[in-house]
Amino acid sequence: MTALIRFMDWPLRAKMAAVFVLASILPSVISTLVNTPDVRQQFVWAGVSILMVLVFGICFAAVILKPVGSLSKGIELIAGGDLGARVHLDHTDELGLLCARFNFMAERIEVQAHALKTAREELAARVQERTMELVQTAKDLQVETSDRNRAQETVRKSEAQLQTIVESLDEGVAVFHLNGQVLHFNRAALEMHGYASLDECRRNLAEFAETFELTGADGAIWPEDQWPLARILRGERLRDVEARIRRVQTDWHRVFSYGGTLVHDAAGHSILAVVTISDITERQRAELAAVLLAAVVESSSDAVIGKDLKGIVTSWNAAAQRIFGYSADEILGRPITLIIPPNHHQDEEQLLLQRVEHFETERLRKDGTRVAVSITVTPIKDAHGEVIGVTKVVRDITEQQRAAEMIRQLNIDLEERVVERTAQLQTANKELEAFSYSVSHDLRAPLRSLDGFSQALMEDCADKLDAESLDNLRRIRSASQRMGQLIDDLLNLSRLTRGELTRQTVDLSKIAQETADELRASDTRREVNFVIPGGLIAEVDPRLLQIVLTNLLGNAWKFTANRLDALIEFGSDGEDGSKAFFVRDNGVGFDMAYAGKLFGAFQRLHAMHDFPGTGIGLVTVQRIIHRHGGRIWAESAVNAGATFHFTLRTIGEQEGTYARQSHLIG
Amino acid sequence: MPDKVILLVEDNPDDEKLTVRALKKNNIVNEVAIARDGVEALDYLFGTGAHVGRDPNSHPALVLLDLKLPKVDGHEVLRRIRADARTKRMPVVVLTSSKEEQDLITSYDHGANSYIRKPVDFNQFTEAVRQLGMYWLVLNETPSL
Repeated sequence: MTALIRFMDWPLRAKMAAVFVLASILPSVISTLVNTPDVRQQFVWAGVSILMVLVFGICFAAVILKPVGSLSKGIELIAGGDLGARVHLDHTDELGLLCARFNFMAERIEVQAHALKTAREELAARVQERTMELVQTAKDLQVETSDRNRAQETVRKSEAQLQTIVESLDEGVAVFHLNGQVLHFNRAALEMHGYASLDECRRNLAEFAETFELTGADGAIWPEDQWPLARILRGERLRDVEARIRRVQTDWHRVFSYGGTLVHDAAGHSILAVVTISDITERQRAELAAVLLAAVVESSSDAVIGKDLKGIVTSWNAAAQRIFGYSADEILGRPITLIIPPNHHQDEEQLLLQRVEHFETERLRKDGTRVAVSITVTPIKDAHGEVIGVTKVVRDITEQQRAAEMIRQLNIDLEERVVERTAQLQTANKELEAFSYSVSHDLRAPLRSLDGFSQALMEDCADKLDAESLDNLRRIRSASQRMGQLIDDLLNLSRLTRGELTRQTVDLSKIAQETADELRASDTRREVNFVIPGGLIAEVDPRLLQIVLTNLLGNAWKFTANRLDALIEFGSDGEDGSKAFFVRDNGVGFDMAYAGKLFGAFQRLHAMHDFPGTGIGLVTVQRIIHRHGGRIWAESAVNAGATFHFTLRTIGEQEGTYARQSHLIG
Repeated sequence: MPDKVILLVEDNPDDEKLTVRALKKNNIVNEVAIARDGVEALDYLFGTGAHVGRDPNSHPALVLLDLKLPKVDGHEVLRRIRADARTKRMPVVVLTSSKEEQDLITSYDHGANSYIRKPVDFNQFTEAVRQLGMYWLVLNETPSL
């Protein structure tokens, strides 16, 4: 084996020679080895053969080596990359053919190499191209990804902003599921309904309808299916639906304006219901007030005129037109001096300076006539409190002045008449006093004469006169005396209407008892049972009540004269809660049919012969009772006694108001 | 005191006659001087007018004075009587028809010694005259001046 490896290291020429030798001797070697049994012989043969081959090889080397060298050089050139290298030999033998073949092969190799090169270049170009594309795509992708991230961020931000905006809205926003369940109430919506948080909020329409009551503008309470949410859920789009909302069983109520709609997704399916709510309570109130104000201004009987600081008319109501004759169209935008008489122009300027609020003056009508007016001036201020003009309320006081003048004149007349009448009354009073004096003084004088001289006649001529004449003289005297009594009674009566009523605490029981004692003393023959309980007190004029009791008890005494078991009572009983007193007797009584005549002057229900009297006593009593603010009435029946009831002040009357009434009656 | 004069100031002749009759009935026999109005009464008392020459120091024992008189009324007569030193202590009884409160007050204010209202009933009148005569002419003592 070692020999083989060393052989491989031999130069090509040797190798060829060796191969040549080997090739030429090999068959004989093989046949010798097979047919020769002696090994020494065999080696001799082998040496001879090698020597022969060497000689033969050197011979051929000179002939074959040169073309082969050219060929080899060509191959080397080609192998070295010179694909254009060719071998040029003029041999026509196998070597020539070999060269031709070699050249053909080289030709092909060159063509193929060129094609290969071209193909490789194209490939490189395409790789380059694709790489570029990929880079671009990667870049694009990066941009796109970044855009998308940004977009998502924007959406997130925008959602948060939206949320913030919704929460910060003053308008209430309520979001509902399509089945009417509450999804969200923003802050304003919660506050409007009085909820602190969404947890407190009602959960659905039915629950809301239990808590709240909605009323339309017509005052009718809306059933649940008329509520804004119900209508929105049915697909209506609402705007400015106003309703009065009231929390059931409370005083809480507001006025809300509702709007809202269903919300749809991109595919057009409704997904939510949104209700917007505005609290328009104040606005409505303000609007109402403004409307009212406008109506008031327009319907005012006073002219309401606005002017700016330059004196230009800025507003003009119906009354202004009526008073001054200018329509609004005619005067708006024109100077106020149109209605101010020239001699008052300066006053107008002064007004603004001196801040006069109310004054009376005169103004000019469109037709040039003047009208007396009272003016109230109010400054108009803008939102900053700056005076930007003046409102004048102008009242036509022509009639008022005329009426005032008339009243003044009437008052003067009246005062004159009062003075006149007072004088007349004073005169009449004096005349009355003089008359009373006359009655008291002069009328009695003739009576005294009648009585006195009748008596004188009876005394002086008793022996000359018969019984009838003496009786006649007695009658004259009796009549004179009765007339004297009448005059005295009348004077007493008239005196009761004069003089002050002096109230003090008076023991009526005591007065009654004293009167009873006097009556008993006047006729000791009579047996009369007086029943007078003690402690009957009243706030009255003692002198006048003395007269009352003297009269009433005296009457009772008089009209029980025929009874042996005469009973006279003085007492008090309740009558409609106020204290009433009574004087009762069991005497002859009277027919109630004539009760109306009881208290008339000079009215008598009994014959003088039976019961003497002037018929002035009860009139006197009644007048005194009336002066005390009380009343008097009687109950009786013939032969069944009589009861006189009286009160001393009007029922429920207070002391303070009493004096006035007393004064009126007196 | 039968020598003492009673001055009756009365304008009504009927009353004058009845009063004189009542005095007589009661045995009051004093001289009765009559004055029919206020002026005459003052003339009598002060010795003036129709009574010039009469001694103003000779006083009547009693003056019966009506209030309602012609010319000068009873109040004024009384006032003048009390205003004069010579007559200021003279008993004066007002004898009148009036029972007006104001007449009573004025009379006492002016110094009347009594106030008597003439009753219509002559018998009562006679009794009243009897009592006042008894009192003022018999029982009552007056200073000499």
